[in-house]
Amino acid sequence: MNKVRVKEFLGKLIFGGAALFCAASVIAIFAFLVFKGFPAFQKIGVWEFVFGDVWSPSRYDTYDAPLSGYYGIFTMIVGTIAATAGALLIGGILGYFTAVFLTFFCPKKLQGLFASVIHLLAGIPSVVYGFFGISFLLPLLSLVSPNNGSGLLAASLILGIMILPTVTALSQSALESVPQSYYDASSALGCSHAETVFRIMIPAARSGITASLILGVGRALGETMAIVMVAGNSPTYPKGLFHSFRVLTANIVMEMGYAGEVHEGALVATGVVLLFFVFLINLLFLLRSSKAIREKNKKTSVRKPIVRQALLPHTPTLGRLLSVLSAAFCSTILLLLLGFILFRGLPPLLSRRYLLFGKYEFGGAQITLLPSLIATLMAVLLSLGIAIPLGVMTAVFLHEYTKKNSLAVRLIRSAIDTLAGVPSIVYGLFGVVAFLPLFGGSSSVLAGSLTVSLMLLPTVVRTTEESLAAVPDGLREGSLALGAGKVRTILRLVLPSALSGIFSAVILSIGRVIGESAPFLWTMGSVMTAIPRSYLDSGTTLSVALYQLAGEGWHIEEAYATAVILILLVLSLNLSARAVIGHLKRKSTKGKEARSR
Amino acid sequence: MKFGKSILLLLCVCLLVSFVACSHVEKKITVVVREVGSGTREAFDGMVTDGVHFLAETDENGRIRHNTTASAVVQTKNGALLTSVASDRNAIGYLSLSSVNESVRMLSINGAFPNEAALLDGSYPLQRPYVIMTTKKLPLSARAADFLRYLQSDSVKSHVEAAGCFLPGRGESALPAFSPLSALPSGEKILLRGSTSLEKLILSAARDYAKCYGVNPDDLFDVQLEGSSVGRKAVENDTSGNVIGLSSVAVEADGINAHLLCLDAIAVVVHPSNFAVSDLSLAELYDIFCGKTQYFSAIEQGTKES
Repeated sequence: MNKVRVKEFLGKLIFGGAALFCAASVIAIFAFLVFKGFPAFQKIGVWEFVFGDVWSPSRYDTYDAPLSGYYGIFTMIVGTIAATAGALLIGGILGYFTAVFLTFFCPKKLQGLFASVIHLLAGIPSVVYGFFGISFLLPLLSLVSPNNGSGLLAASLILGIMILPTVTALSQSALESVPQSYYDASSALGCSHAETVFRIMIPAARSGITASLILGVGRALGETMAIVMVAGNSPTYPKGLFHSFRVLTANIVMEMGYAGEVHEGALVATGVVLLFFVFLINLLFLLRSSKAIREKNKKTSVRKPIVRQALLPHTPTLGRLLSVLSAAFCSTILLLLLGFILFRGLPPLLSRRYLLFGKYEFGGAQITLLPSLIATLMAVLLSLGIAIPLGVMTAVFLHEYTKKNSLAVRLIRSAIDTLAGVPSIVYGLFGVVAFLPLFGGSSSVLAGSLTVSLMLLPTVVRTTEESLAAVPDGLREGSLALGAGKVRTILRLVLPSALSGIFSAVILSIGRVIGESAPFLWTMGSVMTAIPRSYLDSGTTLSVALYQLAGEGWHIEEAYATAVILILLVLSLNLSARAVIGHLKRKSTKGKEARSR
Repeated sequence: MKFGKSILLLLCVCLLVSFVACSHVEKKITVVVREVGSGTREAFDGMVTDGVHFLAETDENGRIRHNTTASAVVQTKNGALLTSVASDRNAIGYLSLSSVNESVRMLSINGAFPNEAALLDGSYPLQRPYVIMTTKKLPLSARAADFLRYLQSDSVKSHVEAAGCFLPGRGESALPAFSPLSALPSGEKILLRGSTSLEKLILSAARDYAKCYGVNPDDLFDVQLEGSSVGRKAVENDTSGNVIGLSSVAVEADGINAHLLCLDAIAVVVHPSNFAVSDLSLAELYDIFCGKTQYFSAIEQGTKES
């Protein structure tokens, strides 16, 4: 009897410990950033740092000597806001109309096709978007621009395409949750389909759509690798559509590698400012989505005076036209991106065997991707090895051990939500200031994997929790009634039934590790070298390799080939994740049916 | 039917607008620079002047101020810089002579082309030293010391030439010949850190050095070239005596021993089909890079008048 109690206690301790660790890591990230950034704020002065518009750092600056450089990030704050606004203008409007098209105007046969277009757009790594930007968009824009095409327009276009799937997916679910009775009532009153959609259904889903736009803004704020490739990056205000400018994330990723003492502090402080913006946006999102829930719960009729939003088209026909056009635009972009990169990248990939299987030659001119492939694999294995057990245990604790809505759970859950909103470059910053000194100051696969495993946690916890929720309670009750302990119930019954959910978490995580590059750049290594022999060696993941190859410009065909490999890897992972999630859904509905019988 | 027609109409209008826009834009000069912190940028900014100001100078507050034009495109790699100049008819940029290839056109500065003679007699103004850095705080490990001996020997000449750099003081004092030790000194890997501009040179030297002892260079060297400042930092923080730092700009620091390796020129490059300019004075160069001169046509006129 005592033994059982010890076992139960141990189980609770371990699961709870994992959850606590998640919460602690959030605190650690903030503590480290503030701890490292505070001296810089103090030295430079908060006012001069935030509102100064000259950025010319000096690598000789230390904390105990007068400054010899200027550290003002106001130009970049303006740049970030401008790029985000531009992205919202493009991606927000397109995403909104695409969602309208998908929900109301799409022929049934094409629905699956368009859904997968949106999914694929969401899955493409940001460094591939950036590469598409410099190899396709910039040359195109330079035809009409007074410079080489880089600047606000290019950045907004690329960012807009990147936030489009987020906006579309969330707006679509908001639109779908509008009760069918609204539609029927409007039709009964003699309104046409388009009129009903634009005058009744969309206004009813308004707060959900706003929430989706806010989430899109959050994504645009934190985006790094794509924008750094197309923005031009000189630290000035974006004066016009074709004027080189820099955003906050780009500032960090460009200069972290060789920052001196104060300079590094100033970059961490840049990260703190970025986080501040992200949290502001997340707060807005929370307020907005809770309002949406409240409205839904009220179940009142549509408020009578329908406030027409400025962006809402007043004529339903025009709206219909726009929705068709934007859906067509989404598909065109996807086809263009895939077609362009496959067309340019497949021939060198197929014709040059050394690209994949070549031996790394020290300082040689031949590029081989084998070391990057192996480094990626190592990073995937280690970061998943850390994040999956931790995340699953946290999810078990949150779902099986605690009462919903208790204070502790709410705290841990909000910590995890916070973690989900942190831009990936901030994880990279954290890795540089926290993990690098642990391993002798030089980048290693170990440091990179640790950094990224933190980034994976929120996804793993959420996905696992969803699948745990899908396990019917009857199973647990039956097991407990038969005298099994809680730990045994969880390990023998609940987790095995939730296995497909955990599996989809694994696939999603692999996709993220492969696709992300910002957190790896300064923690794992940014120079393509030989195959790492141990976790303490440095290495580049495929995404970082693409960033380097595309940036270097010496090996442009190899860059296309890398992009092809990346796209194929990530897309196949995404497709299998969708298959698993679909399987999970079917299973859960089956479970519900079983329960109702 | 109406629907399809209106889409077609919209597309036509879009096309028309873009064509009109295309034909009427007069292109400004695209200034392409390296990022602050790279050795190339630091050397270039410290040398280009209109007689009064430099591209980077200490202002009245005792702080560094950059006068490079705000509309400059910043590239963090030599190759990226080369590509953006090679793909833009109105671009001008600068990079290490050793990284220049036929995809761009080189300009002469003050009437001198960057070649060995102009560099050694000083008539080509944009030159800088390549420096090997080692720590002063502790003795070098046996391996690192032996590699340094190699880098200061006669054997390095071929690598310097192959990389397009120049040995200073040729002929005055011959470099000692390198004779390998009886066996490779034991110890950990040599850590090569620093400037990307030296990549070609140092990697071929390292490969050759490893060949002297018949070992695989991968087992001998760990290479992470991310910029001169990173190299300096690595040498300053060296705790094992294994770090060989590479700088593409002159080094004066307390904890660092600096050994001159060779001289490099910074070449100013434009698009291969851009024949609007072929020679610039330092002052004209300054005006372009600080944004005072915005069109290549303006320079042409200037040279005609003078």
